[in-house]
Amino acid sequence: MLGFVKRRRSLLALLVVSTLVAAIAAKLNTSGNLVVAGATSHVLVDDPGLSIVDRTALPQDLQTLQARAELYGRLMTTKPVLDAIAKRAGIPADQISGVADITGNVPIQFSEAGSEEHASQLVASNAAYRLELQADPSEPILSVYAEAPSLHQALRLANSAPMGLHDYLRALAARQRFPPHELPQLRPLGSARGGITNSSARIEIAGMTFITAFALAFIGLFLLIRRPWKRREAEDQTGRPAPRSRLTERAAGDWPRTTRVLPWSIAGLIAMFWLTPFDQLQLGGASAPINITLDRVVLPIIAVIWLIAFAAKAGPGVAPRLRITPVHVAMGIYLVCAFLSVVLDAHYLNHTGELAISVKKVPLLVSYMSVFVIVASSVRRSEVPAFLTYTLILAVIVAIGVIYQYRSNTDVFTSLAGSLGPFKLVGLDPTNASVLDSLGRRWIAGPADYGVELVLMLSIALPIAVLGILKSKTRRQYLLHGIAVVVLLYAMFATGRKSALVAPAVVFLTMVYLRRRQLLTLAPLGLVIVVIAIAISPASLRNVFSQYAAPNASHVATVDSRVANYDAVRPDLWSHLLFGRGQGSYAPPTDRIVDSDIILPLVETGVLGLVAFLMIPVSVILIARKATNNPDPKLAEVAVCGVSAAVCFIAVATLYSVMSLPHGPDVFMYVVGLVVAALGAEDKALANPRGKRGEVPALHVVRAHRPVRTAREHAVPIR
Amino acid sequence: MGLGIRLRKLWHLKLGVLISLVVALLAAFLSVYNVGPGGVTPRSLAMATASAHVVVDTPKSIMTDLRQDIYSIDSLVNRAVVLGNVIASSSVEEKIAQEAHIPGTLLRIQAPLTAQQSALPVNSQNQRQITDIIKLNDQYRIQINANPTVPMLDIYAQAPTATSAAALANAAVDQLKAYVANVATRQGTPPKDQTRLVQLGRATGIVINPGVQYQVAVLAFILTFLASCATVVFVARVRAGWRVASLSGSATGT
Repeated sequence: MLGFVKRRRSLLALLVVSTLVAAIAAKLNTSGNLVVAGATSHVLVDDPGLSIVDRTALPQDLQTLQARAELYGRLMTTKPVLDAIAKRAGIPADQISGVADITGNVPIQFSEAGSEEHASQLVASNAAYRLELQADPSEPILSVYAEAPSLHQALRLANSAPMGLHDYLRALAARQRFPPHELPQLRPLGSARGGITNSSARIEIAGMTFITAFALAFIGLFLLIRRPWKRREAEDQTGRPAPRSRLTERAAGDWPRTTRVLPWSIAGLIAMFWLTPFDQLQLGGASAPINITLDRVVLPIIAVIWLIAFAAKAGPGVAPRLRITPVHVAMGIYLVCAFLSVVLDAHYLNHTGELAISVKKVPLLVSYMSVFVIVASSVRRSEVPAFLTYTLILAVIVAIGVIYQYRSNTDVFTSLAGSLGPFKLVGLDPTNASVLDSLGRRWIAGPADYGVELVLMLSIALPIAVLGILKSKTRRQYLLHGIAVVVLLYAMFATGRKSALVAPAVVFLTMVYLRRRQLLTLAPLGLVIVVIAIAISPASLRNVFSQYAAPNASHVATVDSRVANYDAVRPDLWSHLLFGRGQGSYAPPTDRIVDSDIILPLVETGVLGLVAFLMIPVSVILIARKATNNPDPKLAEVAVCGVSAAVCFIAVATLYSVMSLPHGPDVFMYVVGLVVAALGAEDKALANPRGKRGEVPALHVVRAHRPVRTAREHAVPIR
Repeated sequence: MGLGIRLRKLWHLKLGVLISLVVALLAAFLSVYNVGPGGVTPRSLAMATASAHVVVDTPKSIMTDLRQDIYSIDSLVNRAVVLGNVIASSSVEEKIAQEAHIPGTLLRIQAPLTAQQSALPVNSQNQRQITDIIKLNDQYRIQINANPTVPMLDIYAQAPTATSAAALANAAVDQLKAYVANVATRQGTPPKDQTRLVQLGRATGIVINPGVQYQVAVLAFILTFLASCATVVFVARVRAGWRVASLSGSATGT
């Protein structure tokens, strides 16, 4: 034990110091009163004499009173009425604010605040005492929601609000010489009820702060002690022999010809990403008390398998190998930005009731990145081509399912997933395909939540099919890959989304840039594919193209709201410039619907967060770009797939909020993981014999150096 | 490993790092201050807001008098939309700018949207663009919301300072009142038939991003320093490559 402590004393010291720093940071960030209490009261706006409840009333009488309730709700957000309420509640007048919700049936533009209004809302959200007023759309009842730093104050505020309004109306009546007994009556419907709304806030803030501070302190001190910029020379002089694997026979083979659990688990995970609406499959169905979706069960199981393999130190070929690449760094920085965005703004998020959603969204980000880390460290370089082929097969299966859905209005994915053991489908209807959206498009999304998400998934798989045509050696392979391209494109157009044109176009343009000469040879086949696509389904193509060709194409609701978002988020951006207002905190109904993963990270994680977010696909491009001309066609293929996926991800991120829905980022993350597994290593044992920087050794070199040997491997030629 | 290599390279390029530091400091300064013929002036980075609320009312107030039925309220709701558009008209806009002491060309007023006109008109001066997000805060804007169910106008002003934001919001109400009074006088409308505009408290301005100049300076420093360091490493690589090519050229005699 003592020996262990002595050997690891620097590591232990590092852990102790980091823990101390984290504990101090957590203590500081949880100081002050974090309690937010809420209380509710209801008021009936009534006639001065006999109550409308007790007398005969025409519908217009009720409407008249309902309009008063609405008007009084708005009045209670203005300064003179708020002053009167503050006086009644015994609180400082400059610490109270009010907002009134529009409850009537109006276009969405009325409920989405523009830049000027939102700036005003931000000011109101900072007040210690807040009122939210909602008039019932059909009854003369006004609901008062009050928030205050203690339950007693919240209850008092909720009870005082109608009295403050009444004071104001009496004063107004006096000024106008209006008989006070003819004023509308504000009859409270019982006294206010309330409770503490954020009982776990202190723990959540402390936990988030501790984790963030610990990670930052540990990494900072680790870098300071290890000084990687000094280390390289020392490493070069160490000529340690490569450890040998304990694996033999079939266990030592590459996936799918292996019995190793980890790659098979990853294959299962990938199948789940492609074939199931996993985020809609809930354990025990909609009535279950806890929301445990399929991915929340499968991913931890795989993470545990990964950790066991990692901890077992089983040697090369078994244990995951963690190598830090620029992609890891970019993801790490983005994760740090996301954590910091919540930690630094924790008090405000707690105050506005958005902390809980932020605390939920950060682990979601961690889960996306864990997919990448697991795949990048567990999949062997020589296994990557097989995983890409597997991806293409799954994509084609999905595409066929989508085409069937387009043709028959039956969602096979939700129909089949409805009977997946204890997991029950929630929120999705297999007959959703017949429902039309605001632009008259059918809701076709396959296993994903939205059509554009499906388009991203299929676009990521598209280069595998195109490159498959290029490398085909037999007519059968050529034909099969050609059919795959047609099926993928057809499925994308079947979604009816405009991005069905943009995403594959971006992928093709990227591939044309990277593979100019080879793709020229495919020009005749491209023409054939276009003709076939038009012949098979002219309607789906026409649907997509007509959305671009229509006279008002640039002024449809979806485009207008997206463009308006760029101005509307300016107050949030300028008030939280560096680290944003908190990961996951910008969400309806209090905020606008933002369909862009450029704007959303900018608002939620600030300019630094956006830069870090964009660095993820950019780092993929940087590491894969150099290998696109690698003499080994398999490595070059992986590199082209990686660059295409990254460029497509950036393009699609401008069109919808990629990270808000799980299918797109999960597929992107595992594909990036495969690319990094193939290209990201800088293993000296696998170094390029020519020793040129930036070049990755060919797969046959990898295989020759791999410390795993099987009889089968020597017998089977490398394909 | 790659990061370590690059950091090590930078470690050896101390002059380059120093230059990067100076460039980053300069960028941080220029991000906060404007250097021009008029000397050094601060940039408009602060965003201030102010709001005013107006009830479009009758002499017998709808707030107190229940004899004003739903039909009266509906007619006032429609009148509020008209009056909201009056604020956005060029003559009133000009007077608002005068009262708020800002150049008329800088003021942008967005008229209220309605169920029938739920989006900004094409080619409107308020037409939204993607580039809006990178604009500075040297804008003077008023947004008018006409509530779809009650006769209230919400006037939201945005400006670089709290004073100018409050002045804009209050000027919008004042000028609307002046316009309505002027029309009533011209047409000889009796007081009992006139529309009354009740402003619910004078607007006060507030800056929503105090201390933003420090954040901008830090951001400009970080981004410029990183870009500059990357450039230093790149230039060093080019120089090294040039030297190798030159040496190999002289060795082969070409």
